[in-house]
Amino acid sequence: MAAIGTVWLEWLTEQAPCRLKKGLSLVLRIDLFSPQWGYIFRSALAAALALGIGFVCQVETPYSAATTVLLVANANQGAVLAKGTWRVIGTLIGGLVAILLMGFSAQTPALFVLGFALWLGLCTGGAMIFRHFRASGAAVAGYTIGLATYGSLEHPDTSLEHALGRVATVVLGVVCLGVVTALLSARATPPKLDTSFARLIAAVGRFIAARLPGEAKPDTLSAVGLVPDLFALDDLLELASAESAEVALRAGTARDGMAALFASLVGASGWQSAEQPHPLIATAAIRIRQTLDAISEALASPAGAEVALRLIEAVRHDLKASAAEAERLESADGLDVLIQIDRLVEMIEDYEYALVSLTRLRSKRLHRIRRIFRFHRDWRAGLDNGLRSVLAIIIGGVFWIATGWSGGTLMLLVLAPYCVLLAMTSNPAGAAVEFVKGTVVAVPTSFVCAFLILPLIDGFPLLIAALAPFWIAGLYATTKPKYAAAALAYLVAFNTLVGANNPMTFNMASWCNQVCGWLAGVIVTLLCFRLLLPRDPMKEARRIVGAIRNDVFAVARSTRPVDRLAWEHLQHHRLSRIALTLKSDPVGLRPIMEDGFAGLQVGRALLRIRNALNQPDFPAWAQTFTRAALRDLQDRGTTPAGAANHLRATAAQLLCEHDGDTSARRLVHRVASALMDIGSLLDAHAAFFAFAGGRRC
Amino acid sequence: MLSEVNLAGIYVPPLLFYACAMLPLFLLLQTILARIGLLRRVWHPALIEFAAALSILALFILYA
Repeated sequence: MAAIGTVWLEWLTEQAPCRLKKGLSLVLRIDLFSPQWGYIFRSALAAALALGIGFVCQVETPYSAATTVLLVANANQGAVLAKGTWRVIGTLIGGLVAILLMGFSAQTPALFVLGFALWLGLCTGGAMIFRHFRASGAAVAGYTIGLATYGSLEHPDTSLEHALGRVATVVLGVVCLGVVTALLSARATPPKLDTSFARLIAAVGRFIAARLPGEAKPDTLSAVGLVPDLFALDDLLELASAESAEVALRAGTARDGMAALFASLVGASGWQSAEQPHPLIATAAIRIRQTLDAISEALASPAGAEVALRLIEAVRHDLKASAAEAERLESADGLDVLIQIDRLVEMIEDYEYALVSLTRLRSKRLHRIRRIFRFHRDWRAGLDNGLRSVLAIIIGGVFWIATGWSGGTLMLLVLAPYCVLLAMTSNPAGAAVEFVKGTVVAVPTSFVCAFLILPLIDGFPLLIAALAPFWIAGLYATTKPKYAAAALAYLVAFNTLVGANNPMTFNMASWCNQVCGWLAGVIVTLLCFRLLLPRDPMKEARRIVGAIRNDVFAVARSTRPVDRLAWEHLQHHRLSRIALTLKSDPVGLRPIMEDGFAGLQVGRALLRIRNALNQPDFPAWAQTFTRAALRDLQDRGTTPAGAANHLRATAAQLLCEHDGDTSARRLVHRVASALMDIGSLLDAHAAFFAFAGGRRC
Repeated sequence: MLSEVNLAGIYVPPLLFYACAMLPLFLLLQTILARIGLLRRVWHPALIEFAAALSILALFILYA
């Protein structure tokens, strides 16, 4: 006993003060006025407001309004507004379908489960195909069926009431959170978009400077690293547009600038020059490098865009003068120099256009953009995930019908949203594990709150005082990326298991049944993502890069005019999707991204050839040779090496036989150079461009 | 002011109709305010927008 006493004494005198100090310093480090705590308090306030209005309006399940708030809550105002809007739209559509489904399948649970599974599958597919918050709208439309019919399956006559109640609680939650967030937070995304755009223009400028002749070539990975960063501007633009109508009106301008910036990045990454560049090229490179350094510095200040624009305009004029000088060169490599300068001009013009877009974004005047941008839609991922949702609901439904378990409806209710929401994440199986953890934490906390605290209190203020600490803990965890998924699952499960109602009922048997149903739901979700059509990121990435290759060959086939910036923007979206899909596998990512970039370079070379072919000065005999080479490129029986040889032979033929005026010679030389570029890219990425079994693999 | 609206046998509160009518008008007003650049000059754009939405809704309730 004496020994134990000594140990305790030692702990109290030596270790306890240290630990107390550490704990106190941790508590003192909490800054309640930081943006993070602002978001937490705003969300808790909105949840309390939604719950209070829900009680006053006597909606069916007031706690669902608070749950909606906790689900939609985000530190970013734009995310709250956009997510909330699409959530309401999705709930309205889902509520309507729920009423129809209940009408068609009253007293026939099997038919209901089948209809629910098919609708959820369709909506999951939609969620995979749409972008940004439209995807969450599709997801909500899918799983609202379960929420809107929960409790009315045994009493179909109340289905309309349930569906309307669900719509009312969602609208209430979204409106409360939207108003609280809009009034109590700053519109921070538009300035953030502006700063990020300027920062990325400077970063691409530095990349271009490092790629120019006379500089040590940087690793290709630096271009690969810039791809997702550049496309992140699109996400930021979506949020900023939701926050500010002014940015929404300028979204086309911002997207145009983003496309131009990516085009200049592609131009720089495809730059190939001799070890000893021609003096004209070397001089131009030094001039560009100095200007890009100056631009990078200028963009650090808020009013630097105009200065940067003037600097780049001057460089473009100088390059045009260099091109005129190159035209006067007598030597055989004069045309090569001219083509290199042409490409430098193209790159600088793209960069200049990105700067123009930045100034337009900041300008009070609106500029109409007519360019139509397309985005990658992964139909196969939509099909796979939709099918998984169908199977999950059918399996869960069969279990529910076969066992006759009353908690089975809750299991379906949990299974449906989690199947569709997790399908939209980059690592669904990992997120499903986090959801299980969050739900497990929610079980004891909801028990403590519902059965130990709430029975002791009376009145709305004390109810909020009792619930708020649990909400705040969950909201705080959502600010930590490591715990965000688990925290979301905890918040939803906690709120529903407590089920704050008026009058409040304390039914332990019902709570236990709910806990079993909820846990069964999350565990079945985890099993579904592990066993049913498990996700293979590498396969997905290969499918996306395959879409780039198919588009490249479509450029060779098509006779319709192709907008270069819009075409490259679509490929940019694909490359950023690949980077996101293989985020956790940098070793696997690199060769796929390099293949994707090679595809882009081939596409750009094909567009150059097409432009030259459409010129009236282009000689007819050269057209015949070039078109034959392009036909061979599209021939499914040809190997990349065979196609590359044919392209090189055609280029040699064009260079040998050209005659006529200077303009025609220049065009023919440009086409020959593009054909050579394609040939070397086909050789370097033969596996990517390989044709197998009559189909491109 | 309207009383409850009978929609295929379902009684819908008039506030819902007013809110639905308010929404397109508010979006139009918001676009106009953004185009003329007024939202850049105010201290709290969201407050102005919220007040505008409430004013339109109040006008509907008073005069529709």
